[in-house]
Amino acid sequence: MLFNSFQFLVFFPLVTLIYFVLPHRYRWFHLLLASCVFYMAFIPVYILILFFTIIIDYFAGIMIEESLGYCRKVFLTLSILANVLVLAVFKYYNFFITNWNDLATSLQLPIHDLPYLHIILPIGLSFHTFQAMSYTIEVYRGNVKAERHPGYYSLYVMYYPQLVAGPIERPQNVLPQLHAYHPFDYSKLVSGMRLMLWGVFKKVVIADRLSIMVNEVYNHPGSYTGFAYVLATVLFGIQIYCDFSGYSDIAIGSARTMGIDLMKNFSRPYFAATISEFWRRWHISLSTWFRDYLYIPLGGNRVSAMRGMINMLIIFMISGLWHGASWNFVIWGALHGLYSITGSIFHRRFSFMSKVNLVNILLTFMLVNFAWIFFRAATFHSAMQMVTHLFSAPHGKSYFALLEYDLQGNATYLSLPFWKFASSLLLIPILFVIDWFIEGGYISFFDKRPTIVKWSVYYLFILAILIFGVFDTDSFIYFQF
Amino acid sequence: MKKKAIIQSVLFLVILILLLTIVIRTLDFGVRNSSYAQYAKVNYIGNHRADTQLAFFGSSVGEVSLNANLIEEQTGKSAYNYCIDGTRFMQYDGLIKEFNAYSINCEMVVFAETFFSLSKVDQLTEVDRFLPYINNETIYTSLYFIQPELMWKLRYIPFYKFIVAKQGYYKAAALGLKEMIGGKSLLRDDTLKGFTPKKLHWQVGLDELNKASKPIEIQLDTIALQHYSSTIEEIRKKGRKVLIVIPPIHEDGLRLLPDLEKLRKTLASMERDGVYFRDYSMSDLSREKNYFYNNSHVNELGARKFSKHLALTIDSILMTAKK
Repeated sequence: MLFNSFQFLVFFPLVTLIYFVLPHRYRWFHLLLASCVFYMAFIPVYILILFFTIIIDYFAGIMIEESLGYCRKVFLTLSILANVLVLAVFKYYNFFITNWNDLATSLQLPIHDLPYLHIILPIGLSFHTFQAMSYTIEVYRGNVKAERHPGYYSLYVMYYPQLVAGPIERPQNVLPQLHAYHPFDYSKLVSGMRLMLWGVFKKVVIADRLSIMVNEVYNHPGSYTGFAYVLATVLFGIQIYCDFSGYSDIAIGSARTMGIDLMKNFSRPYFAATISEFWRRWHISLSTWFRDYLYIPLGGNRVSAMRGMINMLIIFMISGLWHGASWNFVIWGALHGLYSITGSIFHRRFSFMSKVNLVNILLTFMLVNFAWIFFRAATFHSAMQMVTHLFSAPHGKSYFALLEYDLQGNATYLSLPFWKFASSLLLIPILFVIDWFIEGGYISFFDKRPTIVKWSVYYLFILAILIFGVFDTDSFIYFQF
Repeated sequence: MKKKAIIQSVLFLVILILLLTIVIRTLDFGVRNSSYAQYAKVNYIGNHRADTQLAFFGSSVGEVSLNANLIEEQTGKSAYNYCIDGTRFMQYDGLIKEFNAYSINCEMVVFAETFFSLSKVDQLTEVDRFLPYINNETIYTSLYFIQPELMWKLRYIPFYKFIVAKQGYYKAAALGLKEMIGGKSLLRDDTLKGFTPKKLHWQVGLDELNKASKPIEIQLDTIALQHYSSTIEEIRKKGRKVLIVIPPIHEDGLRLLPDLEKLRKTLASMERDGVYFRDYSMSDLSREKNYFYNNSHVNELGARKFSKHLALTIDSILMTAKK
């Protein structure tokens, strides 16, 4: 079920209402059932994959806690292997086969046509698999007790707000909250709904509107060049931020209405002055996952400088692969790895390069956007076509020329008439101002305004969503991961 | 505290519902009274404002080829071109039925058909134009056949129109409201009477495109044909004549339509007392690129020539019928 769908508009108030009406002892069951319905709105049978990992990890958690010494590691390994196996089969099998077949063909090996799996990637697989893994790892580390109640454990993995696109939660944050009794809290309801409203606005008004121009260029890279590439890439950077942070806001907001606080996932990432700061602000739940469960176990900053750099590169490349089974994502991850390594070298020598100032923010923004080319382009070839023509002017025109004419002779800018093009661009400063307002803690100032002012703002946002929202796009970008 | 919270929540929702109701009703009102583009045509019929002796229905092919003023001049009968671009018969079927039901003056309905008119359609084109008339049973039913789920939602889910409405709807609403505030008469008469002349030449690059294009297979939809036949019968029952025409198609375009004969035969089979079929697809115009801007759309010059031909046909049919 999509957060921006009509079904969710019915689902959410109904689930929240029933949640508060029910006695505490039944709430877990209600939420679990609701989460099943939410997940099964996509491809119902895929819920069996979830059940598989839930059963494995549930028992693994208990076995880890009850075992001693070497056995604990064995159970943890088995649990991680089971989760990785699911990912390998459903997400990476075809990628592996393609690469193997290509390699075997070029080396003229006898086995060069291994069969593909004709399956659709289960929605949000990487998210709930990573969340499940964080549970067994935390139990192994002794940071959290194994959950004995299968219902609560299932709910930890399946809790619908963060089931398909995160935030990737930690058991020590969510499990106690799921157990706790949450009385109806009007202020949390208002604050949660407000966050949801902002999330929906970012998704349907900003992200989906910008996506029209981004798709036009990225789906027909041969028809454009130079500045169109630069603009489309910057717009994609804004689009993916609004799309994903919008989803996170709706997830966090809907959980908050029920009294449950999920972890923050974004913190104005495009105002980061360095790449490492960017990763402390972008998809926080995933970057902290990699930090806690991969970077630190690999030695963190306690190893030699060279080893630390290699580790960083590996982690970023895995992070790229986590996003999608394609070399483009690996390159995207590798670019971020290289940025971080270079950054760490330079920042040690020249401290001014890590200071928060406009130059560093812009430099970071440009680097991040350059990497987005590989993330968004359909193929490596089209990514390279864009990279190599970033500074080429269209034939016989100035570098900044965007004006084209469609078949009916109408003037268009990246496929949109001028006023639509210009109004879409105007949304970007609005986004940054509101983000700054929310992040800067000015919400309490807003809360103190008279009801009529607050409600007028809410109504204005609802109307803006209904009138300016784009409702015919498919889903959230991060669902595919 | 809990009680106050519930009251506040309910109050918020009540105001929201009221606000959205006012907004959507105002928008609908604006659109209903708008002379903006093709919205005007739907409005003329939806508001029962149009009652011409000759009524032309079809898609863009009819819209650009039937010069209503010229036909009116030559036949002496009031005429209007109700053709809506991008639509197939199933989508404007409701408008024809509605027009046929209320019209007093209509003597003849002209159907301008092309190769896709009667093919299967499972998606509505620019449904915004019809949004103010969702509660009109005839219009609703014809649209429901194409996209039942969408139409059901539009009719029964409050404010669903917001989800479907596109830029054109808001523009039409704004212009309609502006006309009203400005004191101008609502739904001003269109001087071109629904005809959209295209002052265009044969499109650059079309010859190469035609050479590279594969022939188009014409698939006639059984359900569309049933509806077509029953609508013709309804018109006939009211004592009106029905003229089915295939407007000119350029010979380069004809080459891409090898089974156009299938459509010709089907349309010819509809002929009976009071129902006439005339095929202009291979007329003199078809050999001249000067009359077209693409394979199946004539330009202003082509429209003038074709409309003159058609006026003669209409005249002769109505004269014969009188005798």
